[in-house]
Amino acid sequence: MIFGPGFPRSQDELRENLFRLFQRSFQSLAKSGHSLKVYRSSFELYGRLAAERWAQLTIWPEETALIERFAREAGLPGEPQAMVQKSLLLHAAAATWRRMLQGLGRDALLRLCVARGEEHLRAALDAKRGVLIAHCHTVFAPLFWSWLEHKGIAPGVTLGHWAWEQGRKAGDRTDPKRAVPEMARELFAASQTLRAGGLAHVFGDGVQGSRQTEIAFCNRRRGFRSTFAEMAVAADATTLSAAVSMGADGRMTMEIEPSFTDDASLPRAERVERLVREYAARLEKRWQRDAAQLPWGDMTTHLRFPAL
Amino acid sequence: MTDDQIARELADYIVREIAPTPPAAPPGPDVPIIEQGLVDSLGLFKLIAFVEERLGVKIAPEEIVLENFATIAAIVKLIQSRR
Repeated sequence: MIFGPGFPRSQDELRENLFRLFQRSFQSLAKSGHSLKVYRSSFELYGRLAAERWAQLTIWPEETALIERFAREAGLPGEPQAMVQKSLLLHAAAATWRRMLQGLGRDALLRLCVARGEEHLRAALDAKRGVLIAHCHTVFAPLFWSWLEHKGIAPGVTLGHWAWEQGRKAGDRTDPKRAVPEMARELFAASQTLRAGGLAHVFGDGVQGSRQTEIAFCNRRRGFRSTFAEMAVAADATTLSAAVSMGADGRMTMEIEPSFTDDASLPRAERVERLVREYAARLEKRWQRDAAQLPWGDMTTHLRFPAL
Repeated sequence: MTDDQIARELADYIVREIAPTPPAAPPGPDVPIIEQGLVDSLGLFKLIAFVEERLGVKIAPEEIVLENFATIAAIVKLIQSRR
């Protein structure tokens, strides 16, 4: 390390150490409350680094290989190199700033946010039928809940939340004896919230669980869980989809899309399948627009599905 | 409705609506339905809705624990205790 034990063995190692030093400095500023002064500059620095081939191959070699493979095999439009740069930038920025952003006050956070489609959410809530938001995993997805809070919208119930509570062991999520009753209790709570006209959130692109609808999606035969659709149909709630995108300049967009098409006269199973297919179609368009927003874990997961 | 009748209804419902891959035969009363993957979280949620609608027994959130739903026999015991 340049500022630690040992001496850099190469110019690349020296540069990597400098990057780590910058990142740690930004992270300590993020904790100390002086963060916003360097927030934009850090995005610029991370962006410049992420565009350098040496940095891609030295600082993020495995991630770069993953993103390149994902871009190639998922058949996404655009230059793979552009996705690599943006994905590396967003992950470095998330590791530095996500917690700080979650703790920001109302004015400071809203200055960094643009909301598209807020009217869809407001209209659905005003109808008092219950609103289910089918989210998708993006690097800055947790900021949606901060945005809701600052907009004065009660967040309601988030499915899958119990698994991320402090003190939970990773094994709890995969042990059916613990996970099944916990999740069923959450479904129960979400169902009651929806029936009372409230808001519930589900990540529709999760892949755990046995009940899945197989859909041809980004060059893979991918399973989509039907939980969100089953919940929406059972409570006769309005379904919306939403995602959080982060720009290369550090500005976020909360995107809320119009309500899903649903026909209450159809049999339940058909309604569920239609909602799942519409979700998958919306997600595919989103990936085609900007797949750099995906967490690396989700890219890895997608590549595990059988190729078409 | 007798215990056997309730157990049969639950087993049939699991095979028909819940099990991801329908088993060759309906699960017996002591088969660990959650541990064996016959019932996942959404399946358990649907099973509770079935118990409430079909058998008129209200289940409270705090009763949704493994010991009450690990087997069909456990569910029957819970139902009978609420009648």
